[in-house]
Amino acid sequence: MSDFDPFGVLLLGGIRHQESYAPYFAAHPRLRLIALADEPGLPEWLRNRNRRLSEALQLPYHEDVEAALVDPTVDIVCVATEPTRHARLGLAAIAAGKPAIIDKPLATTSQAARAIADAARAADLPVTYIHRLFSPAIERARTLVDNGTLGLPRILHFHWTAAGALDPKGETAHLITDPELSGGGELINFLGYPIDSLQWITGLEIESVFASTSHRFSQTHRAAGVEDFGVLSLNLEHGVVATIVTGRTATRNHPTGGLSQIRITGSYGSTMIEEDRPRLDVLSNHSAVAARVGRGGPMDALMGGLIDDFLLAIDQHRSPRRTADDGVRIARVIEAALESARTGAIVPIAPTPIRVML
Amino acid sequence: MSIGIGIIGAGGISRSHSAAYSRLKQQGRPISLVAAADIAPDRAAAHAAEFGYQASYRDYRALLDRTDITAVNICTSNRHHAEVAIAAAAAGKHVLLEKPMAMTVAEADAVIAACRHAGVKLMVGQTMRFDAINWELKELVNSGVIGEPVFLNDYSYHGTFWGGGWRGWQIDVAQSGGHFVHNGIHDIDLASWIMGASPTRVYARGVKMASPDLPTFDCYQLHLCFASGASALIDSSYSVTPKDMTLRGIHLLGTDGEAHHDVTLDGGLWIDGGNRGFFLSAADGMYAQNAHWVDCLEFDRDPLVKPEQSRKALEIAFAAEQAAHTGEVLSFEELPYV
Repeated sequence: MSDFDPFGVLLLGGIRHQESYAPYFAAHPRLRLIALADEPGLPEWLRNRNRRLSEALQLPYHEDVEAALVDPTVDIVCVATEPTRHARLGLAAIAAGKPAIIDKPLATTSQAARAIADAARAADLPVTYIHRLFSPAIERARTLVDNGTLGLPRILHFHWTAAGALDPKGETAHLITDPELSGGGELINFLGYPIDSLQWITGLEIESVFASTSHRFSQTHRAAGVEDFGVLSLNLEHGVVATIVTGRTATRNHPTGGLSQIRITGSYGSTMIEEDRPRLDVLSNHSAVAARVGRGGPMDALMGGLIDDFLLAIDQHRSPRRTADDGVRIARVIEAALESARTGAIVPIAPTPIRVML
Repeated sequence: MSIGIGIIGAGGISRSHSAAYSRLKQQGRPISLVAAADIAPDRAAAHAAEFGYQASYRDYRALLDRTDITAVNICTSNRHHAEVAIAAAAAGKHVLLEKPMAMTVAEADAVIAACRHAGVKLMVGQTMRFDAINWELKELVNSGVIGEPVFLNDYSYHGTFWGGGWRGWQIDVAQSGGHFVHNGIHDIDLASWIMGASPTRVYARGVKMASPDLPTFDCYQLHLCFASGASALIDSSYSVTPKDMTLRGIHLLGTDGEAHHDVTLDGGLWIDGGNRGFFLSAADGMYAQNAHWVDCLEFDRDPLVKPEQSRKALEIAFAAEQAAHTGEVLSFEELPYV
């Protein structure tokens, strides 16, 4: 890798959010897309999806991950497959010596996430996962803590929901609800976002969790026996308390397709922040769109920030804002929340052995 | 027929009760404001003079002796609620009792038994049910427009601490029951009413924001689980910064839609030093509650707020106040709110 040549990006898998991420890699002045690759012997629907995306991006499609990874023009890998294959493909990238950006969740179990973190450390490679910590709202909340305006955060609430139940006939429904592919329900899918935000804003470890889950919004989730919604009460260090609501709600015509809202009560101030801001509410006889978020919403900022941060991590040989160790921390909270929902008990979470970049 | 009203306890909340009655009287409802009582006779007299009660007393028992009083509103401090309500029932008066209905569940049972035995109506002032937005929310649930309720988030952040500093009775658990009881009773009742049943599991956490030496919490987070699979989160803070700030809202997710209200554009007044003003969404709750009460008395109807429901909310609130110290998850028998 030189300072002048763009870094080559290999897409491992072309489903889930790869379609959304790839344009950000393609548009970045320091990156260029090399190819899309995936494992051989995949089901036909998956191969078709991969092929379709590779054609749209005008990239070659290889059904041989190892061969694609040894390509010397590949400098960075982005994994976006069924979540249950994230760990395997992430480990393959690390084994090939490539820095990796892995779609969320980093892995579907804390054990698998730990394997990625250990491998990344042993290989001395930057590995991150898709997070929202560069969204302007989250950045702003962190700034209010960093500059002392809020004082000490004491009580926090996070609402992170996608609106509109999945179409059971839609081709992505089973990627979210079939545990063989997704690893579970919406806690595995979404909970990482608010947990990351909570820990990024407070700098505190989560010590225990009480959770309740349900699948009353979505028939697809109900049929699959996985939760579409979860409510968590979390106890953090220093007596700080937080609640998180996450999942996929029923409303099909939600003006912004979901809600990401944070309320923070600090010892010196309070704030309430929504990710989909600045927003223009629209009533029009010519459009069904009821809201427009400035500059396309937070996605540009969070993907742009994540990619720039990752490139700096490579350039400066430092950790990206979120590492695989943070992914382990998230996976442990998700597992504890699911256990709490199953047993009705408050589930303690042992301190993370490695405390970095909280 | 004229409904004779007596008011017992002429402190802060009694003013809202009497203001509502004055308005109802002005509208031609068949009520007469007969007497006010307070252990501070000057306060009783001032209250009577301001709202047009015919007489005032130091001893509430003298008020109860009057045969021209049909019903009483009990607005004393919490620890006297049960004693006064039982005496009022024994005197044959219908009872509109400020929340929380008593200082123990056993006392609440005694109040309910006394009113039943005397054949008088009993309603606890769960005023939040009557706030315009909450009433609308319940109508929305009843109409099926947003389907069955699955999740409720009820939040209220106040930058105004209870009055009296360290002397304040609200921070004295023996007098108020604590924050979960004194204020939380509203939220627990509201969530149960909207969900159609009381919660079966409760996880309560409290924070002492103003001082670690506070005898009760001034902020809490309540996690309610219902037998239907629904959940509710309630946030209530009384010492947030900035001082004088009030941020309230309610968000209900249903199986076919959702509804969200907050007070941001609700007539609050932000001035140097904080915001002041009463938000529109809560402005008429007391009036609507007392109008409903007068309807019940005039037309012999059952009050919307059932005594057993208020007792259940009290049971949960007392347990939550304790559990916030011990950190345990509480289990309760479900009470359907029909």
